[in-house]
Order: sequence, then structure tokens, then C-alpha cells
Amino acid sequence: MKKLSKEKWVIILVAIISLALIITACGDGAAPPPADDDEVVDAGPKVGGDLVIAWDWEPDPVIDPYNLGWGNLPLDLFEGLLISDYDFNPGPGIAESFSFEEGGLVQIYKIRDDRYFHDGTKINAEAVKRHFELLIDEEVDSMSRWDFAFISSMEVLDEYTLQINLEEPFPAALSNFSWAGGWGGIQNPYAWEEYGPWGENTYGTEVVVGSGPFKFVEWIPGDRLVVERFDDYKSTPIFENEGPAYLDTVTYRFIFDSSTAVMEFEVGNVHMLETVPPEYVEQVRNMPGANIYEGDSWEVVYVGMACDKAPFDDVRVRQALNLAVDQQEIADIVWMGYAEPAYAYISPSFGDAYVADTETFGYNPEKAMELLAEAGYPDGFTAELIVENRTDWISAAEIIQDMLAEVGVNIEIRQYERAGFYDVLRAEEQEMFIRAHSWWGLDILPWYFHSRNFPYPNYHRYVNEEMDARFNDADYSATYDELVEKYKAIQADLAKEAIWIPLVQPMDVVAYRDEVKNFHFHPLYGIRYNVDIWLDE
Amino acid sequence: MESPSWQYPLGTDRIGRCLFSRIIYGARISLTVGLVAVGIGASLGLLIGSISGYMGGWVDRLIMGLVDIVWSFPTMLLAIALTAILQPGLQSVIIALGLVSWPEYARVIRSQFLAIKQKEFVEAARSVGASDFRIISKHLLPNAIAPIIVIGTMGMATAILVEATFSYLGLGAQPPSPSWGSILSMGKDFIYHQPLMSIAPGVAIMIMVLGFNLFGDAIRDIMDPRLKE
Repeated sequence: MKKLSKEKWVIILVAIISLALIITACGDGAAPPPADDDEVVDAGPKVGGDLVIAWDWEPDPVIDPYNLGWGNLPLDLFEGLLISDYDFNPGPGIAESFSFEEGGLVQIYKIRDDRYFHDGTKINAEAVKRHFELLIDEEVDSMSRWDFAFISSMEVLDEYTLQINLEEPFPAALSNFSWAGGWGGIQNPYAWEEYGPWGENTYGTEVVVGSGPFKFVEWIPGDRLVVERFDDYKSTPIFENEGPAYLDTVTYRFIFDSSTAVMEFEVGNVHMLETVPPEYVEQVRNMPGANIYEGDSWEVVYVGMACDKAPFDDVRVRQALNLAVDQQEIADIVWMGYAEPAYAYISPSFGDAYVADTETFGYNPEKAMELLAEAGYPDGFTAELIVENRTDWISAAEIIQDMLAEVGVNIEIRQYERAGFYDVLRAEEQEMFIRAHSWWGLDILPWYFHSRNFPYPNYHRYVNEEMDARFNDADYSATYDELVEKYKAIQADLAKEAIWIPLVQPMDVVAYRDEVKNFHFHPLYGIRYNVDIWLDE
Repeated sequence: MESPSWQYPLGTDRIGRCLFSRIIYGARISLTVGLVAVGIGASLGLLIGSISGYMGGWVDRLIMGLVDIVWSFPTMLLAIALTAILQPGLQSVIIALGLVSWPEYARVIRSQFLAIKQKEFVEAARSVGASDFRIISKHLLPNAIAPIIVIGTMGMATAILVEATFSYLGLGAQPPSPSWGSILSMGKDFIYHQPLMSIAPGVAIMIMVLGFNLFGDAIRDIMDPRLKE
């Protein structure tokens, strides 16, 4: 090659840089034309259309209430025996009414006589009974088995009446029956027996026979889940709409990269974003045709510690690490104010049942140093913090690393993509890890801290027989109020154990475009029931 | 997150660190990865290529077969698989890069050896009883090293790009290391508010890679007698 003169090189360099700048500048100019103002306010709901919702998660491993893995279920496919209304009261779902006898030890559910599974099978007491039999079957080994272990026997009184017998009172029964996004979602047990793991093993991936307003069409892993309106659906009282849903189809797109999701939303390929990351909220708010809903969530982001591994097996070390972390700063900087600092294992959305412990979970680096010295680590120690590959959690990890360095604890951060992260947890190699949960039931405490769930979902490897006994005792309290009281006492004592470093309670931020009409956010189900929504396109 | 100012020439990142300082520190990571990865790759390549070229026969055929096999793997995929086995981190990237880049050096060294070992001065050394090791290290290698330097310089550019790619994907440098790739990946969420967070590390990568490519070109021009004017 002949030598190029200096001038030519400069020209080439300038050309490349300007090309790069032009390309980046084009991004800003590509805003879509502003959406039409909706002038006809009083027009009734339109039937039809395909609602596209972006999810930053995907059902995993299959869509099957008996085989719940790490994710939730698409609620549109399933309805519970009961459905919670907007004030958390369990109301009629597939059961039109319920009554208790003998102090709650005999529960009688009247099943609606006009409901069908998606394959046309009529829903009757026998089918519901079979559903719950499978859910608590040892051989099926559902992760939610314990949540229905209170059922000691079931009797079909007539075609549409089911009697459930309990040996001890179980106040959380009603809320467990109404959690359709998890274990409470009722599906056709006979279809499961035919296509599930005992049959052709296509259930949950190619075949799903649920009971909700939409029926399964297809699921392309990593890409999308498509559901279509179930015409025989009869609505439940919490919805305004009395008949089947207005929408023809709902497409859930799995978009894990938030910048891609926001761009798809901006150009109108996606109607709703289930989660808007804090760094995008202002930008989405300023987009023409976009609306933002902000509300309190059930989510708690936390740093878990493996309580059976040194040095975390010493409660003073765990308390010290808690005191060294300033939650307020993390909420302000990483979540840009769209989060509150967390001082408990559960979210304040629990209301009365929520117990904060600002003393254990607060910020006091001097005391942290004292505790570390007392525990025998005056010069600190080195530990590994694993984190999923999300920029917000990585930023939080960097701040935590910095805060813990102040008390002499040296943290090595290691980032993994989601599957790799859970591989480490399954291999039980974790020391410290960042996770989040958004559970709305007090059973989250035994779910995470009961030794029967060791090693997962009890990733924190917390084993305490006394606590096990107290969980069992609380779950079978005589009344709900008693249950809450017992759980408040448990929370106060668990806080002292400092099993986690609770970080923040992020807000729920949902974005929807102007075309989406009649949007309601449900405090439990979020935006996952699309019975009332219609599209004006 | 702050906009550029006199105190922070490129502004600050999400958690308030000076972007300019991070990019300057990032150069260290890139240079280290480039040097060490090329060092590992070139040493391995030199060793294996020398044996192959000098010994000839079935050893040569065996080694060249191995080279063909390693070459037939997509480099990126092989490196990702290696980091997955080892654990994400900078060391893994360096090792992976070294382990996938040696065939190139081995090939070149071997062809150089094949040509040079027929020369009279090698015959002369052998006739006075020099050992194989002495012939390789004193007579063959110094005469065959020139193209390796050129390939190595170019290889630095590739290594820097690969490290940036890996760190962008989260497989390379772990936080809080200011690798350009991870700064870029952090910046992509703020591309609307603070485009400098993505542009600055991008330009830094471009300049350094361009620099090494030009450097490699220049060395080749100097070393290639046919291009001397």
C-alpha cells in the first residue's frame, strides 16, 4: 500500500466522525407524527384490534399453574376461583359465591353455571376439585403446593357446589384462591392430564386450556405470546364489561432491553409498556400520544446474603452490612426518585401488616464498624456480589460496593445474564446477590425464609426451626386479624436477623398510548386483565 | 447525572462519576487487554508454529490440522463459550482471546520457517553441530519475526474491539472497572438525555483501534523492502 499523505488521513478521519454524528443526530428527528386528538369522547367501546404490550419478562419455564417457575402467568388466560376487587376484597370469580361454616373449617363454593374452559368443556365442581387435587398432588410437585396444603379434603355436593374441608383454620385461603397470576389460576385439569408431563408433554408450551377472558394462540419463546378473545367468556363483577373482551387479540412482546422497548413504544409498534424504567419516565412523558400511570407497587429490591456461609452466618455481620448501606441515596440516584428507600422485607402497600425497622435497616456506618469488629472482622473481608445484567441493578451494586468499602468490606461484583444468574443460585454458589420480589401476600415470608423452601426459593439459606414453627402457627391462625398480628411480630424479629439488605421500593410506572381506552390499573393484577380495555385506532 | 462543565468536561454518569476520568482510565484496560492477549496468542503461536515448521512431516500435518479446526470455529462464539466456562471477567476475556488467536501466528511462523530453513546459513549452522533449539532461537526466529510484529499490532486492535464487545455484553470487565465497552452499555439507556455517555467511549475505541491499525500499517511499510522508495 502506498503511504497516504497526512492531509488525506485527516480528511478520512473527519469524514468518519461526521458520519457518526449525522447518524446519531437522525435518531432525534425520527419522532412520529402527533396522534390525533380524540374528539369523540362519548363514543362507546369499539370491538376489535390487537393490543400490543411490552413485557420485560417471559413466562418461565411453561405457562402452567402446576409448574410455576421463576415468572408469573399471563393473567388473561386464567381466572381464579375468586377475584380480588380494587380494594383487595376477594369477590366472585369462577365461584359466584362462597360461605363458611364451622368457623371456616368448611368452605362452600358455588361455581357459576355459565363458564367454560377454552376447549369448550363446562366448568363444574368436579373439574375445579380435580384442578386443586392436581395442584396439591405430591407427584405433580407444584411449587405452590404449600399454599393449598390447607385443603384436607373436597366434596362435590352437586354439579356446581364444591365443599372444601380444612383441619385447621387458614385465613389466607381466600387470597390464595384469588391469585390467578400464580397458583390460583384455574385451568382444565383434564387437558393437563392429556397434554401435560404425564401425557404428550406439550402442555404449557403448545397447549394451554385456561378459563380467563382470552385463549392461548401461540407462544414463540424469546419473542411473543399471542392470545385471542374467548367468545364464551362471561365477565366477573370487577369488570365494567359484562360480556367477552373487546379486543380481538392481545400480543405480549418480550422486550428485555429497555431502550428497544421505549423506541417501539414511541413509534407505536407497542401500545403499552408494563414497566417504564426510571431513566425513561421523563422522556416517555414528553412523547406525543403517550400517557404515564404512576402508582405504588409491591416490589422490594434487596441484597440477599447466604446466611449459612461465613462470614454471613454471623448475624452481627449481616446487621453491619445493613447499617453500612444508605438506602435513601440509592433510591435518589439510581431510581431517580421513582422509588422509596426500603426498611422491611415487604412493601408498605401491605398497610397495617407492614412493619418497618429503620434501626436495623437504617444507615449508621460507625455502628457497622463496631459490629464488624465485634464479629471478628475489624479489617473487613472480601465477598462476591452477583447481579443480573440490568443497568439499574449494576449501578446500585456499584454504589453498595462503594458504601461497604467505607467500612472495610471489599465487594467484587460479577454480572450475569438472567439464566446465568439463576444457574449460580441453583448451584448454591451465591454469597451476596441482588434480587427483587413483588409479592402481595404475607406468605412471602415463609416462601423465602421457611426451611422447607431451602435451598430455593430460600436462596438466602436461612434456616431457623423456631421461625418455621411460628410461620406454621401464624398461617393457621383462627382469624385474619390474628394472622396479621402474628406476622407483625414475626417481621419485627426477622428484621433483627437482617437476612437481607432491603434497598428500595420502586414505583410501578406504566405507559400507554392514546389509542388505549378505558385503562385501569389493578393494585394486584396490574395491567394484566384486558377485559375492559378497547382500542381506538 | 450532570451535563458537561469545566469541572467535568464530558459530564458525569448515572451515579455521578466523571466520564472524562473514566474514559482516561479505560484506556489502561484496553491497552492491558490488547498487550496481554496478543502476548499470549503470539507466544503460543510462535511456539506451536516453530515446532510445526521446523519438524515438518506428521507433526506438521497434525498441528496444521489442529489450526484448521480452531480456525473453523467462529472466534466470537468460541470466546463467549470460554468466558462462560471460566467466569465472566477481564482475565477470562484475555485468556479466551489468547486461546483463539494463536493459529494465525502459528500459520505465519510456519510458512516463514519452511522458506528460511532451506537457506544456506541454516545448513551451515547445522553442519557445525548446532542443536535444534539453537537453530530455531538464534537463526530461524530472528529472521521470521517481522510479520509477527505486524500481525501482533493489528491483533491489538482486534483484541481491544473484542474486549469492548464483551464488556458491552457484561461478559468482560466487571463493575466498577471503567472499560469503554461497559461505559457504552451503561450509556445506551441515556442516549436521549446524555448522548455523550455513548459517543465518548465509542470515539475513544475508534481512535485507539484506528491508531493501532495505522501503526501496524506503518511498521509493515518500514519492514517491507519492496515498499521502500
